[in-house]
Amino acid sequence: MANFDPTWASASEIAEAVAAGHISAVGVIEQTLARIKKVDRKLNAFTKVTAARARRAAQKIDQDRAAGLQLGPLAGAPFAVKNLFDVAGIATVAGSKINRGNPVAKRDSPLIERLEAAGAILVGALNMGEYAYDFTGENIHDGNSRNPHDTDRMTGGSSGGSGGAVVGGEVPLSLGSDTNGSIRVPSSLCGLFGLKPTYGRLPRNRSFPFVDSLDHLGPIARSVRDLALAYDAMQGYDADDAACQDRPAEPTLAGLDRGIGGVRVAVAGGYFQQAAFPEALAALKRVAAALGAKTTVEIPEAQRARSAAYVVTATEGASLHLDRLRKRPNDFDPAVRDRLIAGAMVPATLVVKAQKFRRWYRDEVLKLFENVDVILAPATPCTAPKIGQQTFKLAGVEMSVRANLGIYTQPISFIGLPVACVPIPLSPLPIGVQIICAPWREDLALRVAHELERTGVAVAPRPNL
Amino acid sequence: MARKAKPTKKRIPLSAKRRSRLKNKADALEGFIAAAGKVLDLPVQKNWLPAIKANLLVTLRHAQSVEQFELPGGGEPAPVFKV
Repeated sequence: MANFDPTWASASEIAEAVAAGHISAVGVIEQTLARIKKVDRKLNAFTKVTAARARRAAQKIDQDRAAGLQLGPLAGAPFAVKNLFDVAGIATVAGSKINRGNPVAKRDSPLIERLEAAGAILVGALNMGEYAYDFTGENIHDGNSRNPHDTDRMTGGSSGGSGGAVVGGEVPLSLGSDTNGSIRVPSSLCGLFGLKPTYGRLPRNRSFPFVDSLDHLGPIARSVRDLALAYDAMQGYDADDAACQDRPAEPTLAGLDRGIGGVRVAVAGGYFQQAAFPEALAALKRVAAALGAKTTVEIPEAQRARSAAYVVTATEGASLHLDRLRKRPNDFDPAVRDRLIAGAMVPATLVVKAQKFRRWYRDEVLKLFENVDVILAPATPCTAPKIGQQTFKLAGVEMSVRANLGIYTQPISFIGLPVACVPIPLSPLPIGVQIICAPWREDLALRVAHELERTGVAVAPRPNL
Repeated sequence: MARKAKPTKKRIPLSAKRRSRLKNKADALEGFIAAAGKVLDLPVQKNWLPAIKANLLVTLRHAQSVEQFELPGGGEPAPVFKV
């Protein structure tokens, strides 16, 4: 395998190469660590590299192979996690200064345990926006995540390092969290595939929360096959997350190649196209044409749903951090602190209305899936803005970038629908499109994403680093 | 990356009455933030006030858009068990 390059190979290709003996797991990890050392000075994706742990895990895989044991489907594939996942032996900082003083985690997140059980190798923890209240990937404590396509631009957030590390060729697979769009926004701005599963599908215990009623965890990768492999490995009930559903695993990998014959695809109109920049609409049009989507659906009251998500986020997030706001207000990023303090002051009467609205909105959106199977929408209104850019114009109105990069993702996660985000390789920068499905239909979202990848419509472009 | 310029929404001059109402509301919000800070035992330093006020205004605008929506009955987010 003279041409095998583990810094751009997919996780599944690495696992196949390791299983076949074309490369050792130790060899993969050494090349991965060298790559991180080389490029992370530019990208600032990692906040912690767990080199010793990764080397031990790689040696074990090579020993297992030498002993003739069956290897897992991700054997030898490196991965890294947003630093809000518990990693045994290090503090779960969640992008903050305050959490650095917390005791170290005693046990890994269940999702790390499950990926490792499938043979994947954890190589570190990744940069993120403070306490996940962010769409930019900027962080005043750890420095900003930088977009490998143009290091003067944002990765998107809050899973900024999870995007930067994967498209920067540091790891083929990462985990992020998505409360309002924090997997889909960096996937879009970095040009990657991302999966935000149905609310309640993957357990969130042993991760640091943001808005419990909106938080999701999921994978980011350069290929749909890797998303499916990781998602399949991570499914399963865990009673320690009250929202996690005790539902049998529904593997997606075997069905990826089934094609999309008979799948009814529609494009989200109205709100989802009004403020979009031309590049977002061009990407949407390209995907719609490739899938033969001729109908447009109106997601009812989507703008109001976004507003309700905004209110629930501000208030539930404030509730989580109230004690920290009282005791250590000067240790927050001021931009996060001031939003949280404002959230703490929103009258409860308005919050209750937002919660009631969520019930109504969910029921109305679910009705759409009686007539369509997949809804397409832009993931972000534009390609990656410049780091430090405070505002952009949406529909002619000057708006905050930090608060509004997720205008198209928020109305979807608000009711927990599964979404695959696919990268459309526009020039000079990629942008994502959301493939939205009914609850528990991750299989379909991934199958459609795979079809777009197979036909070359969706591809994770390799940056010149 | 060069972006196509988009037309900015034309601002219509505010009437004196409307200006006065907005000023009263902004003043009331400052008082509200100070009072809520005390009630919730939250520190609100003077130099944080503009940003907190701006964030609260945006959040309230979102909340009011939801409040204005007339919901049919049955939207109670309560533990309902259907048989």
